[in-house]
Amino acid sequence: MSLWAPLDPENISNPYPMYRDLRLNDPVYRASSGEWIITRYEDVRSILKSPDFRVGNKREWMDRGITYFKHKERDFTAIADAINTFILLIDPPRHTELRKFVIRAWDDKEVADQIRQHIEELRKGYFGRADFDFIEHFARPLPVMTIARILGIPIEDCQELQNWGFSLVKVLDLYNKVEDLVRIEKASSDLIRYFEDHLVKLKDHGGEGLISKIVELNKTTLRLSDKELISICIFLLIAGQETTVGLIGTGLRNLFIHEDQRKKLTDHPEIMNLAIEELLRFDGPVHLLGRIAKRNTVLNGHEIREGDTLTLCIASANRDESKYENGEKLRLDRDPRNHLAFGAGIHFCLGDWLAKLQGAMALEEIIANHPDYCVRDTTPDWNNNLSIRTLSSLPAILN
Amino acid sequence: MKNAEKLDDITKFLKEIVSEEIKEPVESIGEDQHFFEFGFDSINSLYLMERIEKHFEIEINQLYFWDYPTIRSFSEFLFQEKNNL
Ligand code: HEM
Repeated sequence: MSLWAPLDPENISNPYPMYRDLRLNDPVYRASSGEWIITRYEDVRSILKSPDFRVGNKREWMDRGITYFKHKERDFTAIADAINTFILLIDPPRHTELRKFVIRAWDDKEVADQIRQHIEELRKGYFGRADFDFIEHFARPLPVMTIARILGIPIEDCQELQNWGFSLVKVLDLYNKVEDLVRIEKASSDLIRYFEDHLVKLKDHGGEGLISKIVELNKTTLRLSDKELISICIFLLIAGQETTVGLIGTGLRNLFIHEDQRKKLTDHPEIMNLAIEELLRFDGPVHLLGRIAKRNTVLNGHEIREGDTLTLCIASANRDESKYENGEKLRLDRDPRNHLAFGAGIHFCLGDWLAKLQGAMALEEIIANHPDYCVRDTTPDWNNNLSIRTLSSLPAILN
Repeated sequence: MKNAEKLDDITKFLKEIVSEEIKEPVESIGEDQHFFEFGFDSINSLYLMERIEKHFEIEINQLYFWDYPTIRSFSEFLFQEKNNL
């Protein structure tokens, strides 16, 4: 039996026992498909920080896939265009330039007031609803409203942007089928068209927000093409969407299941920031990251060869008991520092502060106003994405 | 679900689509050769997978090609699935 069976329905509903098996029995595991599955904290962290491994595999794979499927009368070109300047998929030296560029343009981090306003708006919509769902009415709409505001795009477009973003982020998953690629392609074309129009509007009328700052900065620095700028915008839109839905939604589910922990938070709301870190450590939304070996290396006695693919299970690393005592337990009063939910090294998440702020404000809203909320059905309903794991629904009673 | 399938027919279908894809005569396709020996990788196996899913009205994923790496083992797997064994 293969230790790595991520598509097995049991593992989809709960991959943690599989991670644990791997971590304890074969932490540098060669799957039958040839990829290496890395599950221990120290190994995952050292690979993320090492210059001997690179990202970028997804773009190469897509390029090859596009050439192949052209012969089958299927055109996936829009996917390559949409992801061509995803910072996450680019290696140095280009990565260093692009990352600096985005950091420089993103100079306004005062967003708490806007988030509060969005939460209030959402509250009006869901208050008293009999069919209330944490995901549909709260966790899903909130992040896209916030990022739209930051980017400077109209709030009315959020629903559409959210749907496209949800389809497109699947491109980062490990195993996509042709039918997934078809959906990803559609979302790519729609998003590209949307941002093309947006750039035209900015050129004609000027505008506010991060995108207009990026466009301005670009004139005097990198001189990226519109195509590249659009890809950057698409990534900024989607990077914090499903991930934050996961932090809030899965967080609310875990706090419901672990009643004693929820009580800690209702009794001591001041521990919220630590609680968010612990929720991210215990069950963060990003589970798997991909890397390619740049040269031959040895890891725990295994010979990794140049070009080999590695799948890093950050959700497993975060429960490694040699790093975190009782790692499989949620404990809001522990110090979960240095968890890997946002990655590590040069690709460390650029939106961690935003995710944590928004996550804390969202949970505060629920914990303060509805400390006895009930989740109506605790059988989780996970979306079809192994890499970014989020609930598709979480019906609840707010009390 | 489609009607029960005969093992021979399943094998024949798999050989045909492999032969079509790698442009080699059906007769040259060995039942015990591994898919990757025919040149299947993470891209063209997606296409193969789609054809198998449509033909047999079944849902599979990429990892099946590693769990059942030859036409013989894949046919047996499909046979069992389709006949509820
Ligand atoms: C709970 C929410 C979030 C989680 C768990 C998360 C997680 C991650 C992780 C693990 C990476 C590194 C991927 C790798 O090394 O391959 C990453 C990168 C990134 N994230 Fe986040 N993220 C979250 C929210 C956000 C938000 C709100 C934004 C804002 C737009 C954002 C923007 C980015 C960017 C731009 C990168 C690429 C950085 C680079 O490659 O240099 N993320 N994120």
